[in-house]
Amino acid sequence: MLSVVKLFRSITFQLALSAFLMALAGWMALLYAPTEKSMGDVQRIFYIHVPAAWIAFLAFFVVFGASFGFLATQKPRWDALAAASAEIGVLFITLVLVTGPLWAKPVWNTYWTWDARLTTSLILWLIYIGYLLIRSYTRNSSRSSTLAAVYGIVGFIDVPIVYFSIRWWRTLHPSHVVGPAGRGLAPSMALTLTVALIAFTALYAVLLRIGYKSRLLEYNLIGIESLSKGAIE
Amino acid sequence: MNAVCRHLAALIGKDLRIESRSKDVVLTLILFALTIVVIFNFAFDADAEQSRSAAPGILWAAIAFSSSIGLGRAFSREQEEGCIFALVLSPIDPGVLYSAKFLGNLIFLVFCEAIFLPIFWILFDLPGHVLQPMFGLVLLLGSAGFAAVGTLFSAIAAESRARELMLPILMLPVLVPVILAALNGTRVLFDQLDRADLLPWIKLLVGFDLIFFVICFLLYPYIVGE
Repeated sequence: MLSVVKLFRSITFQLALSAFLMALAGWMALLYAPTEKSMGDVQRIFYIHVPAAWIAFLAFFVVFGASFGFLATQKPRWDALAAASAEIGVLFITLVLVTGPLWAKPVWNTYWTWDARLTTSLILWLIYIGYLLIRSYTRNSSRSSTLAAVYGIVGFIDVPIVYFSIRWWRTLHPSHVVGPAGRGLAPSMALTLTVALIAFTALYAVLLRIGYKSRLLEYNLIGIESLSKGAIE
Repeated sequence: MNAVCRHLAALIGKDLRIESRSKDVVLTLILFALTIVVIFNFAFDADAEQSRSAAPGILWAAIAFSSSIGLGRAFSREQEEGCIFALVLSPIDPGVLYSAKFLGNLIFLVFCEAIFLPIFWILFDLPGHVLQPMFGLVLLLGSAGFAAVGTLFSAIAAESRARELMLPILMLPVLVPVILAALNGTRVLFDQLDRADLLPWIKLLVGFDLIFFVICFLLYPYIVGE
């Protein structure tokens, strides 16, 4: 209990900073940034959608790196980092998949289209849900971390392959191109996006720290429990 | 090198012998694939032309789902009676173990496809030009991708609580590139499109197979190593 209190005290500053940045980003996205000419107010989803996608990729990259770290060193802290990052990544890729169709419907007149980026995001979501499933379905096994690490590595390497293959398929069978391609952003929009990106990254950092620390505490607890069991026996 | 070949032959021989006696993987795999074809057929039943144009997709959907079921079963057999522990304890390199399981699974898949395809050909009333060596190559390359990933992931899935149920969920999203390339290569052959269109898909399949084989080969020792 004490260490949980200590944990939250140690992140107070970080928590306050990311809360402030999120509030600032929200204000800028809704009020400061100008209304887009052709899409109207719905374009403001952009300031959530893009940072969320960025965080998802960052989070999955961290899972990839931490999985390598774990396989190389077998240290539980790499495992804790990978597990915490994967959960956050799934949360944000879900946010991407929810905000995307909401934006697409009024602009493209369809919720969904099977282009490379959209399809890859959906497959990314499926892969990392699988990752979380491995973790929860092997929770009592000492090998849970290794299994998850191996899957985390294969899954991440797979992402560019999926993207590339779908893109290739689409260029062989041309279909209408979607998405904001090569369109310059107004300076105030670019500034809003930058602030939103920083705010989301700060939020990711604080969530990652909480997830990571609480997992380490959990491991310690399990260690103490098994020690005390050994003492009784 | 000689020892590697002997180990490979012994391991593959063991898997084939078990399967030839029980026949459960081959049998369920083919029946499952047939069931999928029957169900898909309802969707396109009204129009023979339409159902023929959907044939490549239906074929690969059937192969994808049934192989993910079959490969899961093939590995869980290793766990019964603790066979996998004996294999890990034996002086066989884990890389050789992976290669043997990969080849064994590939043989299973190709064998099932060889039985399944003529039935599929009849059911969909496909033209004769479909059955040709190039189609065999597409099938082989596609199946190799399935076997490469399936061999690693079936070992992961076998240790989870949900067991075989996990394998399709883990395997199919990762294999999307292989399914995509194999499906489109098959479409080129079925629709008798320009042969030049086939080559890129073959190249992609070879590339994907190599990437997946190397990654899984390198990671397999971590999964079965302890």
